[in-house]
Amino acid sequence: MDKKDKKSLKGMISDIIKPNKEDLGEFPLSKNIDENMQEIKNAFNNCCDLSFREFTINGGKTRCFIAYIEGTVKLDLINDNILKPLMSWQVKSITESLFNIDWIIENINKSTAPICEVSEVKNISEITDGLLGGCCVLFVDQNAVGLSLNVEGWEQRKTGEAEVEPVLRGAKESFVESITLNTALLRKRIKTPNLKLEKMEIGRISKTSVIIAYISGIAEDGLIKEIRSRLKRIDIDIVMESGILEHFVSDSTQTPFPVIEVSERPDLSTLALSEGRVVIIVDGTPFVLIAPAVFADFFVSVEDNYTPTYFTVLIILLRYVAFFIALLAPSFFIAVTTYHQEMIPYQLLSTFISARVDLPFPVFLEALLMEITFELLREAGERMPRAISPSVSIVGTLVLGQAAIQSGLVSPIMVVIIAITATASFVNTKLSRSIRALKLPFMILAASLGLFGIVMGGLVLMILMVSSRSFGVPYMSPFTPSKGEDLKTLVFRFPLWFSNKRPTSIQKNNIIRANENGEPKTPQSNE
Amino acid sequence: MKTENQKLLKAMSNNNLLKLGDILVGTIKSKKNVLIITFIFIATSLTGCWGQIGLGEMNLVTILGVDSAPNGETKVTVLVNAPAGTAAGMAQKTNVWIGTATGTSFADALTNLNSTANKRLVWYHTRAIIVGSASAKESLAELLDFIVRNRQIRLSTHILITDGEANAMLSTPADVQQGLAQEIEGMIQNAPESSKAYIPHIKDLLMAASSKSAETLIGKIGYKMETQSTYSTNRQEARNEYWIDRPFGTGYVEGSSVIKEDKLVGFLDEKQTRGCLWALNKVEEANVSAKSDNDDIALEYRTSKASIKPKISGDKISINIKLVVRGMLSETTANKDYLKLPDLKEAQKLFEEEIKGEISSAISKLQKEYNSDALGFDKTIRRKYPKQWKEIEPNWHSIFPEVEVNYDIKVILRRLGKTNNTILKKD
Repeated sequence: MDKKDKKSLKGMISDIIKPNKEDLGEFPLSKNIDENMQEIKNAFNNCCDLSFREFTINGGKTRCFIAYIEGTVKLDLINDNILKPLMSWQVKSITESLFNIDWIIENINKSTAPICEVSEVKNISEITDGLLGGCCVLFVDQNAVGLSLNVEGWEQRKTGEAEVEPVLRGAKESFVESITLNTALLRKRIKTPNLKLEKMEIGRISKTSVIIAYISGIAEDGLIKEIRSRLKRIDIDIVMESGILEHFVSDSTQTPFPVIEVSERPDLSTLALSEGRVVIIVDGTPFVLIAPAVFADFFVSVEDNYTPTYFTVLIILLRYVAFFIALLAPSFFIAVTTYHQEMIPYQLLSTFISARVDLPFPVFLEALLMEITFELLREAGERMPRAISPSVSIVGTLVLGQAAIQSGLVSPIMVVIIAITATASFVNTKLSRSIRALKLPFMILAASLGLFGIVMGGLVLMILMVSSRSFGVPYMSPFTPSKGEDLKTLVFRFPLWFSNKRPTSIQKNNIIRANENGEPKTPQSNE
Repeated sequence: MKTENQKLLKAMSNNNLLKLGDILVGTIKSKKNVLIITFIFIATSLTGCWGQIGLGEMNLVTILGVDSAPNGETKVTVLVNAPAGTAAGMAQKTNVWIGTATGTSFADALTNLNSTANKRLVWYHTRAIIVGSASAKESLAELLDFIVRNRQIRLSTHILITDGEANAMLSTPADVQQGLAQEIEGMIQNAPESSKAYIPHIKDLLMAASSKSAETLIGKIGYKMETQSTYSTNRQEARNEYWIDRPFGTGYVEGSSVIKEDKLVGFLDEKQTRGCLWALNKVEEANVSAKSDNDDIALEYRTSKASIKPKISGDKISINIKLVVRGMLSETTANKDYLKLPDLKEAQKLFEEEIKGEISSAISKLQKEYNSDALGFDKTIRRKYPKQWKEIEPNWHSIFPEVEVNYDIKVILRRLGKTNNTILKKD
């Protein structure tokens, strides 16, 4: 019974997401130019952005028209490269013009219209696809074949500085909403035909272009095949952003942390490609997906590859510390002050007690109150129009922070703890959502079971982390399963002369990526 | 075998964790299990936080004093740090509260203490336990047993015996610091600087008490009545309050207490205490002064190495104490040239005599007066002569006072400080 219901439901959905396909049909065009025009008008019924331009060629003897969708084409191209040559075109031999009309369209295709991408269209669905893809279709009377000339020209944002992943050092350009520009940004950095860009369309209505980029010979075939099949499995109506695909292609729904890296940086994507990862680019969004991603990837910035190693190592370690602080600081504070006061040094305990003598709520409620307040502020700051956001910070810092203490609602120590937690959670931005969500369960565990609860929660979290995979790659590698060599490349970013191997956690095809003897040397003395 | 284990470990770390994860994920997937997990969570939050004391509801016991009361009762005195907040919860103010209670047993006395305490007393940060000499002479057993059983008192707490009543000691007004507890703590921490006092942790006493002989040294604290001291208050206030010729107690930590079979048998003075520390190799810092003719010379201690070795020849038991002290000449007004060997050797000899005097006075007091083998001669004999020890052991306390002690003490002066000879040297 279930199956039947599901089937009928499926049928309904496919009906919804396949609008007037039957109307369009696959039937061929007619030789009559008026009929063809009527067909197109019917297909784009009630679409005010469809434009027609009728004209004649061959000295007014042959009727033609072009059709395009406003805003998707470059009008200069149509004027200069289609209308101008066509309107001034004269058929030299009269016999040819009379008896072999097909010849006209072929002539236009071959020698008249200087447009790179031209294809013949023979039925109405090809025409609609062409028009929607930014082409201009050309029809000549007495021809059952039209021409689809690519004059695509969207209004698009120029590539600018990365806003979500800013760096002090590194390329100042980021991906944009246009998929062709994005692939060009990758091509610019990897000049080899081995950089493969496989295109597919996802979304029954939106027909969004999705490109799978990888370097053949480095990326494992199994991985590419897996990503291809996972993407092909997706059957939805609209793809607004790469996040929609991320939901579908993740290995499991139980992972607490993201298993696919999201980036708007072409240099990070380049590095990922060179390590044997696959980059999924979706049209209409500057955020590309990088898969597979392991836990350690979220602690390195692309900048770490460019800066001196000693400091980078320290900073990467600092990010791990920040992760633990952001995740556990409030719960640890709750556990220690509620159950394990003997762990607090005498002077500090004395201060804690005196700060808490007149406070009404237990530590847990106090922490919860402050944590919720902070999350509110943060959310408000993120969602608010830019113009009003200064007022949020005024309310947050002055009114809430100061007044909460002075009114005797929370202790100053709690404000310090929440502030440290908040600061630490800003460090690993790509994990911050997961950390924020996991913080509360840990606080509840700490308030009910103390440090024991935190340890139990930590164990469960660790089991989840160890058991999750990103496209078959164990999520916690290279920590477990431990791969010493990969620590150099995935966890820390040592210079390439020191770690000249690609991470074997991700691929095993092609491991060496730098000459072994590249170590910097003092100049050899001239004999 | 080993490699198999390693393989197994590897397999566990790689696969089983993954499997475990799958099981967990499977558990979450089943609706029944989700219900069970939810109930466990609710149950844990319903326990009402058993045994929990909120931070605002506790007072910190900093020093515990133990005295004996009439009719075999025990009297406890506690110095309690009762922090008080201000209205804004910002600044801190600490009030020190002295609580006293008596009871038939030690635990009973502590329970009675609660009837006068306004908040729950916690013992995590008890810095020192001070026992009155009268109570210590009766027995320390009750106190030690309580401490071993108690979960809150740390084994790193210091234990001291006061020559009077602990209650009186704890009633002396605190000077400069924010409380008497901090002051006593400070004195305890300063003790190794002169090595004239020995204050072990309660752990050391418990270890000694659990051994057969149970003879050891622990700390000693006292107070003298004085009329003048340092003032933390401003002059005007001091004039009003204290500039009256009125004596009040000032604590000091000096010497040590000798314990024999869980009881106090007596005290050692500063020099005797240091004598014991020389032999036990526990001197941390010291200044030894001696007289060279009419001038003072002083040795600043750097390192030392001591060994206690027993020797049995026939019926005669003798102990050889060997001590090498290396140090620096820290003070001299003598008209000597210490760059010349005879003068240097003479100074070393003087220090050797001085140190030997300290050790021998301590040992003779332990042998003749207290008959307490606090330096652990018995252990060295047992280790070296296990067979003979079986015969000696029953009569050890009658043999111990007669044991001959030989000293082999060597002082090596390795440095003279920033100058060679005294600047007052006149040739």
